[in-house]
Amino acid sequence: MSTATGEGIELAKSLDESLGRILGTELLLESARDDRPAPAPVIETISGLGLQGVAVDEEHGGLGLPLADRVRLAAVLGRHLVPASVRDDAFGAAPAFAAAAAGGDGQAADLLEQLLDGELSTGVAITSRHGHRTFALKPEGAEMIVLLGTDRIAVHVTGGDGVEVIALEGLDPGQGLCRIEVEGAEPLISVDGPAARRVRREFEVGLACEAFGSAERTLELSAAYADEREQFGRPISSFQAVAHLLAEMKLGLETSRAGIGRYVDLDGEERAGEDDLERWRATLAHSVPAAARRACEGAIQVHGGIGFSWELGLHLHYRRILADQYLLGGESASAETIGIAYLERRRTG
Amino acid sequence: MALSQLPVDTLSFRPEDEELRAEIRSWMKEHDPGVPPEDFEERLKALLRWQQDLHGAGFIGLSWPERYGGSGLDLRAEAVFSEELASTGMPELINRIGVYMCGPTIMDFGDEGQAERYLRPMLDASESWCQGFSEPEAGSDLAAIRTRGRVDGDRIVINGQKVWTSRAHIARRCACLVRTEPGSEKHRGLSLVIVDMEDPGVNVVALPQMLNERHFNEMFMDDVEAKVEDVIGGLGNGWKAAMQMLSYERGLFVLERQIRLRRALDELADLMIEHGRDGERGVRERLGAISADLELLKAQGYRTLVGQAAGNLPPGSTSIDKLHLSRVEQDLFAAAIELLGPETALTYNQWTHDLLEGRSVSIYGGSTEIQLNIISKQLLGLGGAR
Repeated sequence: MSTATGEGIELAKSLDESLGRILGTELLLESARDDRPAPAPVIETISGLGLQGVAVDEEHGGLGLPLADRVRLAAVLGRHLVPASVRDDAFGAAPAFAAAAAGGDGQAADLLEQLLDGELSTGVAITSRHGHRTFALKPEGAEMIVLLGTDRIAVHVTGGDGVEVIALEGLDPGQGLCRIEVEGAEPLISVDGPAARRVRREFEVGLACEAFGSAERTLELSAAYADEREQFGRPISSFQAVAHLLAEMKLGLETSRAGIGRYVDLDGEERAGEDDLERWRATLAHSVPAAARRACEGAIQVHGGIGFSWELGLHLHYRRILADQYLLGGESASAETIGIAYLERRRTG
Repeated sequence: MALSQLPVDTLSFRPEDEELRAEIRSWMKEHDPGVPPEDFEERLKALLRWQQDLHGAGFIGLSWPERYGGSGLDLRAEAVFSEELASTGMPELINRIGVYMCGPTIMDFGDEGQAERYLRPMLDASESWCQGFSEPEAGSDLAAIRTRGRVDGDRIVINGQKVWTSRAHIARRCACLVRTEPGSEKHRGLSLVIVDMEDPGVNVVALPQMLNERHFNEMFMDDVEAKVEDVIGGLGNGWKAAMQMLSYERGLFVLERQIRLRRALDELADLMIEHGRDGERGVRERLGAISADLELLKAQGYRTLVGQAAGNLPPGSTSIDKLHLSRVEQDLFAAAIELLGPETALTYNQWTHDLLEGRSVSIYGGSTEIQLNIISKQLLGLGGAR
């Protein structure tokens, strides 16, 4: 059973309410049109809501919320299309610094403090599991890049020797998409082994949950719209073709929800080893964004011409979900990863 | 604005559950009779003996109260048993309809007398059960059933016909949905009546399925006598009881099915390795995608079991289990013949057998289209139900 805390549930609720007010569709569209992040005061307000420390233990100045709370929070971020830098700080950079600090790295502890105080800006990148290039989301002026590898965390100074950052125009606009090339650079901070793998794994689960939350919102909007929009003299939800499309969206999201729940439960089980968690991570990384994407595509379809418009903003959800899916490698590559590990288990018994 | 319901609870196994798993596993290793014989009579005997042996070992009805012959454990134990059972060469329990569906429904809606009379013989399979729901004119539109039950004092006289009745030919009892209120329509006026299959008015006729195997039957009832005290949940409450029974067709059923599908996928993976094809991208992708779907099926099954145990399953939620099961089962066997190629696809073998058999999963227990209707109405609340 999951062990959500009252504190975590309260935080998710208050975030959900505040974010609904702070991040209106108009504001999001405006930032998207100009390919810039949300205005600084908005990001500051969001930072003030206390998210950065959710995955950091209390000893290091965080809230130390369990995974059960963090997956919910990630879904709230997706639901409101919160700027990726907020997610990356909370689920990538902060736990990465915390892992290094827990290993006795004093510099990491200092940087973590700065990050939690909003005085340090970093970009976060995850290396590909599938031989693709490494992409990061880096806010303008970020001083460091936190590189979450599959076995190793490495923090590099932006602009340092052997660290190349190439800015790109992102499909999900305003998030600071870059390509990162690191060659021969010594990291400022590094963490290896299980601690590094856990941070990486949970970051990926967070991306999947963000896509889930985003897609769930589009399904809610679509169900309400289908009941309201009339054609041929009746609500379009009364046509089975439309109702079944919505039901298919729901099906994908419910099995995803079960999968996320399973991961959280497994994480709390004694018998669960790193291999089990890794297997489930791979399942979530493949299945959840794929279901989220299909749901969002369904949402656009149900809304018809309006769904395709700029002003409704469903495309913002679509862009975010696609970004999550391809940061996680994409549907085929993530399936192949599962297949490779599965065949390997069969070979070795 | 509603907050995402996340994370949902699935089953978490405790050390004592793992002890039970080890105990069952070692018992199974010693007692697994392997693949049952082809011959119908021999097969029947073997299946019966298997459930009796399992019962003798104390593994049937793990979650049932002790006063009904169970072990008084929770659904975790039942899940562990299902998972371990599926790892043997034997098919599902011969009385799975009794143990997993009719029994729990009697515990939910029936009375003590029914529990006394019917529960224990389900466990050792001395009385096997079937379910009399569908009729020639009442398939997807189940509420259109015409089989009549005339109430006469403490008796009910039943006339009508059921169809696609799985296991009727081996069952001693049938949970039969009949219209007991004359002139009633749709969901109203129905009762779920326990029928004795040895009643002289019951006539069971084989209805061979696509593979010419006898799984289901037509069941004709001509002045069959049942008792009012054998109505589960009371006269006129049949629809509710029947729906509950159908929701039990998910839960443990799905879990067990999932393990069997996992075994089939394991076999397919092993063949790919044997044929030196495990390095092919297409093979890895396809096996990986199905493997992920099976994991989600398991997660969803666990989630449903937790809901069943807590008695708070949202209406319609098990349609998710059913639909996802249909998809992954059909995908798996389609992938198998595709990856194994013409040599497998052109011949009759376990893979092609299962491919054909897999067409039933999107039809039985409520077709895919009905499940989508249920999801859109009950889970999404379309059409004003929200």
